[in-house]
Amino acid sequence: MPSSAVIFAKRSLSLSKIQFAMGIVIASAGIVLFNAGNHLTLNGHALVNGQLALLSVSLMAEGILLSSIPLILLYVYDKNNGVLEYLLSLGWNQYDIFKRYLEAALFLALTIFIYELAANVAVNVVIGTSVTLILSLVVSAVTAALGFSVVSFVTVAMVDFSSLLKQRVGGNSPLAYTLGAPIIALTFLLAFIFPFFTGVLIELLIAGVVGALSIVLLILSSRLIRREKMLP
Amino acid sequence: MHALELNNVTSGYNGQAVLHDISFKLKEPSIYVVLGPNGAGKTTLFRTIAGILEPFSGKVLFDDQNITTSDKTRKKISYLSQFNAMPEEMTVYNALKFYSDIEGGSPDKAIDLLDLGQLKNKRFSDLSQGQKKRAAIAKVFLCERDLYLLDEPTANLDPAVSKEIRDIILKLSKDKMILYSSHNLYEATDIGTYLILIKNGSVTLVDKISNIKPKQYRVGIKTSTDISTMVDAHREGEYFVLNVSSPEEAGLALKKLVENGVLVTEMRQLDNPLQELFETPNVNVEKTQKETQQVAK
Repeated sequence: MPSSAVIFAKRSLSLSKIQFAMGIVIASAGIVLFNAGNHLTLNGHALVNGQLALLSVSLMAEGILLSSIPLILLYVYDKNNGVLEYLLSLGWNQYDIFKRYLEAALFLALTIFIYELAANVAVNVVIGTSVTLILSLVVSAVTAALGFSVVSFVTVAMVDFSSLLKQRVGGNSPLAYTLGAPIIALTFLLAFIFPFFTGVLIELLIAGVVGALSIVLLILSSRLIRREKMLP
Repeated sequence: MHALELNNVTSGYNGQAVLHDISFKLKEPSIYVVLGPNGAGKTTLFRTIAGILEPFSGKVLFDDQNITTSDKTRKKISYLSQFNAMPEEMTVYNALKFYSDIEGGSPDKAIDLLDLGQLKNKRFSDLSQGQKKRAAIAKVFLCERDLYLLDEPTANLDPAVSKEIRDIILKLSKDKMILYSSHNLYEATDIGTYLILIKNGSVTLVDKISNIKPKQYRVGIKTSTDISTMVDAHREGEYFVLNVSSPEEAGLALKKLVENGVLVTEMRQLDNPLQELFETPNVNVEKTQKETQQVAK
């Protein structure tokens, strides 16, 4: 991870820690839900194992999304106090600037994901079975796919869609979050509709579509983002 | 020798032009005061020269290189906006380090230059307005540049800090080209060698400030004697005010008063020489655009 990503991530946490902390809380809820589901049994059968696993994926992905919100706030803050304007004057273009914020958002998301992965593996190794460890890795992989694709989309949307706003407003972070949160909300429903593996496939499909959309927006960013939208 | 040249530059925001077909060429290290009322286009001019805004048409050249396409040329230019543009959650040192990691240069050197030693470990957000401005100015001196664009660097500062900053800029102007925007006429005459007058998005005059002569001078004379019977003067507050067409005419009036035994304790020009330019709706643009080509050689 480039050092600038770490610097921007640290800066964002200096501004606001609450979303990151809430991300940890919600991710922890997902971890507890997943592992409880794998260890509670009824008449010798795991209790609604697949549904809880799918719900835990949604919770852990939501945790990852929340953890990246400070970075979006930092972007708005930097725009309003002239930091982005100064970076443009140093010869950075829109893409250079945007890339730093995206890398930092993914760095924050990675931090939460590592916590989720380590916690799930630790719980399963200590009190679980080899079956639940494999399931744990599957759940973590789906969480990563969904979480990182939504974080990328929200971060790209933060910059690109602010260019579509008629009036320059500082609060384009709610706009970005408004676009990202329903994607996670949709995955919550899957747990109640589909069996585990179908749900997993649909979640991977959503992650793929969102990821592809993010890449397209990223490629178009230098056209979509007008420089004047980065000025205070 | 460096040169800044704008050729028929039209620039603005969201497709709306703020600057209209601007052309001028500056060739010598000096302080060029960009003067104009609020909303005239000073900041847009600076943003365009700094490469932040791409002109809709025309070219901005520095040392004959187009700043829009040449990154190397952009690195010769430093821009101080009206905003502090500092990461407020960082200490002064770390904020300067944040930028020096991007553009190079030394935070320590900039801290020494702006005398920020005692503030360097304080959070930027905890500083007073004047201290914040000084710290923000420090970042444009991290690296040595050839052209400095300073957009109202002393706005909202107390007189002592303003003077400190002007002194630094004056020192710098010996071998650097500095564009300094202001809407303060007294500051403009105090610091500037050249004037770039901008109104409604057009540059209406580029000339040496010393060449700018008002049509009429208002001269204030302080004396305890009623001099209104000796010269054509009327009382305004503590001064007798004399309207003359040249400094020489004012000198003759003073001579006459002294010959009549009047003790004059003070005599000064009451209006700023730039006042007339500032208030005149339109200076002859066609003429000044031609003059612009001649200026600053």
